Amino acid sequence: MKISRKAMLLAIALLGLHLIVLFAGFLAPYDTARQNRELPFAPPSHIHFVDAQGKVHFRPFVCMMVDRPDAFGEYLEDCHRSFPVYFLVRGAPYELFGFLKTDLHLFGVDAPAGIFLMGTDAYGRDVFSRFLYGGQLSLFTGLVATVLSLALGMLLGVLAGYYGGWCDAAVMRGAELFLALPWLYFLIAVRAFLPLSLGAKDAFLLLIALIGLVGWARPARLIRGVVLGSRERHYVLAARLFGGSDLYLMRRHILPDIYNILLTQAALLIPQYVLAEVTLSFLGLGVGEPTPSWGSMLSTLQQYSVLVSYWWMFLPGLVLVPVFCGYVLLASELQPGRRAAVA
Amino acid sequence: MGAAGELVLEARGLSKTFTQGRWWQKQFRRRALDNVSLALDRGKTLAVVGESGSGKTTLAMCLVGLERADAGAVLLEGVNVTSREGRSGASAGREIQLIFQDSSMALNPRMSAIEIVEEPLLIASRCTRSELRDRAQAMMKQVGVSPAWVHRRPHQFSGGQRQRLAIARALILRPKVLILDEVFVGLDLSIQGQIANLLLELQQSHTLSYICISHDLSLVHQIADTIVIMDQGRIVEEAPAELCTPSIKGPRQSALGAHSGA
Amino acid sequence: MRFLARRILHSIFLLLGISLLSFTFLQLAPGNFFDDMRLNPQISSDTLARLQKQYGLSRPFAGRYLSWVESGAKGDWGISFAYNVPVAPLIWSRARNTVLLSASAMLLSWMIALPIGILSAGTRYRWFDHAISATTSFLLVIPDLLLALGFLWLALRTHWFPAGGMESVKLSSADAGSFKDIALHLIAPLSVLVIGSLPVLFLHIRAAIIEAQQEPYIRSAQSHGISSMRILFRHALPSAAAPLTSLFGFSLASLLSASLLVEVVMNWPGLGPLLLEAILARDVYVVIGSVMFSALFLIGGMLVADFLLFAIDPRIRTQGLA
Repeated sequence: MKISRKAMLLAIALLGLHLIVLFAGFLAPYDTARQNRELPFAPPSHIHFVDAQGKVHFRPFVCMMVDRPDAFGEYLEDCHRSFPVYFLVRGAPYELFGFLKTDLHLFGVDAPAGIFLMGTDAYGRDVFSRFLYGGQLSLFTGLVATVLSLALGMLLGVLAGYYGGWCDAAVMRGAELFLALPWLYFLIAVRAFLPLSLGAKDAFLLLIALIGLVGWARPARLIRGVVLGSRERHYVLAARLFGGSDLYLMRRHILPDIYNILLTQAALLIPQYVLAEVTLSFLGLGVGEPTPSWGSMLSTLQQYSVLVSYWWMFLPGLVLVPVFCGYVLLASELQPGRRAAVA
Repeated sequence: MGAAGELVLEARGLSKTFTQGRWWQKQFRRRALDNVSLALDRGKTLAVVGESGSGKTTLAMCLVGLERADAGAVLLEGVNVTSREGRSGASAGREIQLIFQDSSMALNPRMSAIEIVEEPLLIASRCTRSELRDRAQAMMKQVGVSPAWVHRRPHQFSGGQRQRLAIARALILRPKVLILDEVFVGLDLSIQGQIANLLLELQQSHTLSYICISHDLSLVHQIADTIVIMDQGRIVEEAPAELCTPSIKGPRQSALGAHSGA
Repeated sequence: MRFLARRILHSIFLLLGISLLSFTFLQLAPGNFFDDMRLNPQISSDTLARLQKQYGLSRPFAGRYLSWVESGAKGDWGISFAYNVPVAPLIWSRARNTVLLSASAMLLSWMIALPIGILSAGTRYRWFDHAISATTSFLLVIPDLLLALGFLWLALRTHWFPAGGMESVKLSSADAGSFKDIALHLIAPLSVLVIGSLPVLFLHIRAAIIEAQQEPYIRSAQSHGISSMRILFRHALPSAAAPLTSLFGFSLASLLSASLLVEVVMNWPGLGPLLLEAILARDVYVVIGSVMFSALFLIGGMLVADFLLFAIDPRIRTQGLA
């Protein structure tokens, strides 16, 4: 199956994004739970190259943030002392990929200054660090849930299409049921009736299972359609005459027909599932504090004061747009209508 | 090599009815086969001629085991093989093979020629990889496909060559009976002749028995020993080939004669 | 006629299926409304047991399901633990607002998407088609959540329209609760829903009409010299009616989900916030009632679409006469 160059580029770009969040520990200067109580809602740090005397430095530096004496909740830069940005520094320990213990970070500054590329939140936590870790959660929930949905959809779709009869009828009625459900209603109803306060890992797995299990219907229907057609091909009948078992026929002749669908469905489902996780976390039904997720980071915006005054809190939401863009473009590139080449 | 007149395939009273519509609706029945019986001797060719809709393809499917007849029996060398399930290939099924009408649909476009021909061996026997290749290549040579083209895909072959591949594939398991379902359709006249000659050669060398299904009376007249005419699921006429020429007037035959004009 | 009867029967089965599904899931879930009370040392376990018995929470599944259906016949559909009132009137008071919002969004987005989609598919001026398609594709990738937050931000910054809620607080405004007041408050959530659903709708409509236009009989009509406008409306459009009506059903489903989020974010007092609240408090029958209502709304909408299809597409009417 030929994949266009544009599709390859998009896939690489998306892969790059996922790699970035995989390296969250390394790229993030701070631990996600570390609070700076004296700096709630600080705006993103300004990176300076020119100091107060007009001298240019090669190494960028930041200044201290101090409270404005006249206005509550606003900050001023105090550039009497400059804090250079060091690269490859030792900082808070973390586990890369979940098992490599290290404390090496890409960049950082000395205390008591802080480098907050995306500002801080209500508790003074670095939004950039939480953004990266949150990205891990949101993006990978989407990915794994998609794999689950597609696996289930493929299994049921192939069985329904190949064996027909009551198996087909049962699967199709089931699919209709799941498609007729307003998915968000169902999802939050089921989610919230499971224990609300779960450990981060359990909640993560639970979310994946839920989101993935709700969305199997559409891929299953599409796959079933293709299998119905493939099953009657003469080369399949011929292979059956040679004594080919059902499993062999499915593996050798029928499954290759559905790989295309699997890919396009994946490109369509992943952004939807990422959004599902973000929505659930936004509503407070996802992974709980203090584990960051793009959704829970956005939920502070429900307070109008935050919404209006602190624009950097929007960033976890804004990043969704290019991510979705990438996936949607990839899906349209992979559509069978575009590629005339076969095999 | 058997004695003349040895029965290799026999069909007794095959009937099949197709119904359309669910159980709560008024059902629409179509009788595809109505008490069809025929007998094929070893090494001979039986032609089944009829218009489209006369039940020829259903007959082929029932004989081979892809469809289950409602009534009647199919006997292969005296053994009743009718109870074969259509879905799982029982070993009896391999002794009868079917060549489909449209060769482009009968070969998986994703497989190369050699993969297509060796597939039956892959499924049915425990040969090693190289044995598979060798036997498949030998078979391809027998049907006249150049060994230089083993890795080509079906769409790179012409219609005639594809049919040759289909024949190679069907013969690689050494079946006893070959059912040819409209195998000449869509081929040029000269290619038709070539394929017909190939089939006759193979019949000699492998002692095959053919059931040749067609709507073209004049074509099968040349290769068949016996001709059977079907209409609306029934056999209406049966005679040795020498006696059937386009000049014999019977209502069905003259109609068919008109169909297979020049 | 039989087609319609079949669809209605089908819908009833679907509803029953959903009710069973929801009930089952909620039964399987650990925890119930009284969990919080359990933590309170002042309430004895006897009281808890008595309360549970009173609310029927310890009965077996079949019994609870049947008595729930029974109470539905009475018009109650169970009882809300949190509000201590029957579920049905509680849900209905909120559902009215959800229906108002969703139905207007549905109507508006179809009223905009249909003509634009038809025009875009039928126009000779390719630049128009490309421009609209590009714009909608761009809108497609913006999640509803962001749109909702964005509109709130806009409202708070510019005060062009109210930021959330359905009615003004009675103390601050004289005509709170009036038609005009509600209409104003409708602007923000409605815009979010319409902008959110418009792109997908437009793309599907356009695709359906383009596909209908490829049919051979359209080509022969063109070669006969029939004007393209007439072809579009009398021939292509009815042919596209079938996929469009199934699109109607799907768009309704996604609209409902979107409206839940929008209602919560923008404080529109509909079913969404009620469901969320009930969930967090584990108010079982309210949850089931809300899910059922939304399913009802959805299935009802699909039924309407089926009736429309029946009226428009003669092929469906004559199907039984094969």
